[in-house]
Amino acid sequence: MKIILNITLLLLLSGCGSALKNKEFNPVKNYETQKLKNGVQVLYVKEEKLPYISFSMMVFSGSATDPNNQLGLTAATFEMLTKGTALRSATQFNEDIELLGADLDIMVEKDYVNLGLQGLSWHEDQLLSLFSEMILKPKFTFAELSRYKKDTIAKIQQSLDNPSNLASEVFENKLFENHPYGHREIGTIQGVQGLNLKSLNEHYSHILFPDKIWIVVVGKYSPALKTNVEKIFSEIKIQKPLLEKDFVLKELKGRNILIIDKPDAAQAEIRVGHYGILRTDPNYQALSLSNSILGQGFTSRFVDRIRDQLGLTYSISSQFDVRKERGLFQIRTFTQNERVGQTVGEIIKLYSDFQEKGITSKELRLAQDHTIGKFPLLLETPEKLAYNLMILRFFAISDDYLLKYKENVQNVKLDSTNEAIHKSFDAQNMFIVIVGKKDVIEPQLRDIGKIETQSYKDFLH
Amino acid sequence: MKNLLWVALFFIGYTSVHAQTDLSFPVEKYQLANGLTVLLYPDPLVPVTSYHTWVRVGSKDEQKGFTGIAHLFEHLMFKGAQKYSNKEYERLLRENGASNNAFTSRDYTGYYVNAPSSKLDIVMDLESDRFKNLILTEENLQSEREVVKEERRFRVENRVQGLVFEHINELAYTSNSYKWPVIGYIADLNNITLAKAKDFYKTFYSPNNAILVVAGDFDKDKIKSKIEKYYGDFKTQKINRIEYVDEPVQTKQRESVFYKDIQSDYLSVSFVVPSQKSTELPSVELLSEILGSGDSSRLYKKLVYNLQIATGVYSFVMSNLNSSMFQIHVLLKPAKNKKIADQNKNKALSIIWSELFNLRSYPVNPKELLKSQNKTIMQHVDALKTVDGKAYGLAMNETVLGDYTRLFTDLEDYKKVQAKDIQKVAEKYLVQNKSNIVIARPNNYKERDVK
Repeated sequence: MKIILNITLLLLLSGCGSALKNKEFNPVKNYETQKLKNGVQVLYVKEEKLPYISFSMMVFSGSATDPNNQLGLTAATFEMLTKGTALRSATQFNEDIELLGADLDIMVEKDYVNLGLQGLSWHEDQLLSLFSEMILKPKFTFAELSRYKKDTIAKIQQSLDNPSNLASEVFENKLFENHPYGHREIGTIQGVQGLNLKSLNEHYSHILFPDKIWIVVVGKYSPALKTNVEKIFSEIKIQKPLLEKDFVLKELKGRNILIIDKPDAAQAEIRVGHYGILRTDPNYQALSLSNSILGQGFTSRFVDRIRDQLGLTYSISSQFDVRKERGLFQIRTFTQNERVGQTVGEIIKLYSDFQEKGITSKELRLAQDHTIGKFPLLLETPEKLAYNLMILRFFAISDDYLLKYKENVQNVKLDSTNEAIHKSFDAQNMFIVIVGKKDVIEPQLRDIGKIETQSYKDFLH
Repeated sequence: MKNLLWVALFFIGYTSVHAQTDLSFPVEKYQLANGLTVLLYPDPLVPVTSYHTWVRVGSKDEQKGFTGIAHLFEHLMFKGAQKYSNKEYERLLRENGASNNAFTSRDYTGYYVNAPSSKLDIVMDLESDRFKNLILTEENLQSEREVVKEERRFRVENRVQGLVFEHINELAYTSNSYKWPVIGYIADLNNITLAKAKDFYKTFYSPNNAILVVAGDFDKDKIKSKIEKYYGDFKTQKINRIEYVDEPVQTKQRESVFYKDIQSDYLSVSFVVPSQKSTELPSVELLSEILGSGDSSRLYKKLVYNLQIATGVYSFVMSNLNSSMFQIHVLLKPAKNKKIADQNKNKALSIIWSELFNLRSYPVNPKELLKSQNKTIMQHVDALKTVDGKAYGLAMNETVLGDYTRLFTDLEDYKKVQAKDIQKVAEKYLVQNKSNIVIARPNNYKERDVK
């Protein structure tokens, strides 16, 4: 019998510091870094027991760098790295990876990309060879690009069959519109149609800019590995970096509602929110704690009222998506089509109350204790530590953050937190997206805000 | 030579899988006088503890007309007990930095708390309270029933894949309790009364039907006395289980088609295969890896890469205590019209039949076998990275197979599989007249299909 467990990687370190009285948990001592002569940096995190090794390349450029006429170019470029090299065809490349029992993983985000290969530690040499070949000897071919384009367009269309995906994507698209964050990472149908080999090659040559690259090695590796890694990745040549794009946000005024009509929806998906905060916001820690009180976990205000007291949903949460530029703040839930008005009304009522009155000292203490207490769990494995160290590097935050964080969390004060809540959350100016049965939903929302409607089919082209 | 690593020195022993794959760790197993099975794995590496309590009850133990009670009951376990109310339970876990949840399957229900190891005492107090002295109220039943209905709409009714899974079991099982979905049907959820819920608690939530696993940073001697303190007075009940009825051997192909507002056909082909206890199951699982797992699998190469008629294909084994299900899923590409969609659907089916024919007729090649074994080792390693993963693996093997050591010996069973074993299970189970085909089609094909 196989046991398979998904390891959920942390999206963002939101707490650390040890709650232990008798033992000091200091994860910061368990890693090494190395800077190669061309500027590429390498992070090593060692695993002592389990026989696995993973190589990954984190690039601090993501889909926000896509040109306006080729939305999806970054995702395509990285996907195409796995579709054959100068030495192996796409089929051969995948055969050779899977023969080792290894997994390829590509994660394209708005501001960064992570390309990883994980396998068994006794295959270290073969895995390093495949990983480096993919990065340094790519071969983009017309046949593979055509196949990628057709597949991706079909996947974009199919992803919209899932109302939850549709709601999340439209929420972000409409909130940011022509801003670099205004398209899904995989691209738009038109953008993917416009991709060509020349643009892929050019984009990759700019993306492979040494100062923006980290190679991350995690696992049980041999003493010889560092020399091999240094030799191989010193080959990355210094290129011109990608041009930065303008991040200009439009003003959000009033409560704007978009209903996407899906006549066979068994349930309505709801997204409510607005622009988020910057990681450099001096109140970042206080606002993260505040959000955990509002919409994280089984004790949150949203769960207490909307799930536990009213039985309107199975799941409701709120989160900041913190990015290089201002990201978003989003409340996510779902309910019956017939109860959308009640659910949105309750969300706005709770959210307005939260913004106006803030949190209590008891709530703040609970959030602080939780954040401090979960620290060891967040950094339990070498993989989790590596990922969090990379996120710190992405935001140019010192590793001292890990050591001082308990103190920083404890130092958050109630008065300044409530001031920050009042300033950074906004229950008056927001964007609301509902995917469900328009005819049932629309009459329930007339008193809440200005309503626009579209068919889900409008998003299929 | 400039860089030796660029030479395609890709030689590895293609003939045998790596021998040194001992993933075992020391575990102590014992039983309390009331029958509670305890597994302890101390590991001081990181100051965290994973605390799992599993009960041998799932949807297979439900009666017709009351489907979903095992899962609804799992929700009710969070609604408060004698010592701690539901709000206190969640608040205490949260302020102590713990994360918790639960899950229900056909055969078992599992509850877990992952917490800093210094907080183990409060975790034990909270968990033992609800297992021994749960308080069930009409108000909690009513509100949780509505929550579960929303969960069902989210997981099943609003997702084509959820509906396909539900149809597969309804089609493949005719006479036993694996037929209905774990989450239950809406009408049946409405039938569940407070008396029924109380009866369910009394019947199944007993120490002689439960397994407690603690993994992570703790002192073994101290925890033993605490387990006695918290669980020693957990009263034993007689377990009245409905006997599982074996499914009659299927002799004819079955098919079910439904329509939904989707862009393209979703096709699945499934077969009933042996249970988790069977020595044949590793062969079926490796066959599944070879046929439909990853970009180098047989079906991916044909349907996605060469013919380009599908965006995805995968196969897997849904393993259960009494019988398992081997499933193949194909997500076909949106087609210009129904005629092309029909052609692609038929082409995909014919390739599935032809690949199954090949698996029955010829042994798989040594590279394919090695690949599937390496993937299995990697999956085992992946699953054991966290203390929660270790606790989960121990609890799963002890609950379902009655033997946690299978977590450590399992890999040997996969390594021993030979090509002829895979051919044998294909011949025995993967034949067309034992297949169950479920197809989800776009709504606009409906009228034309009916004609």
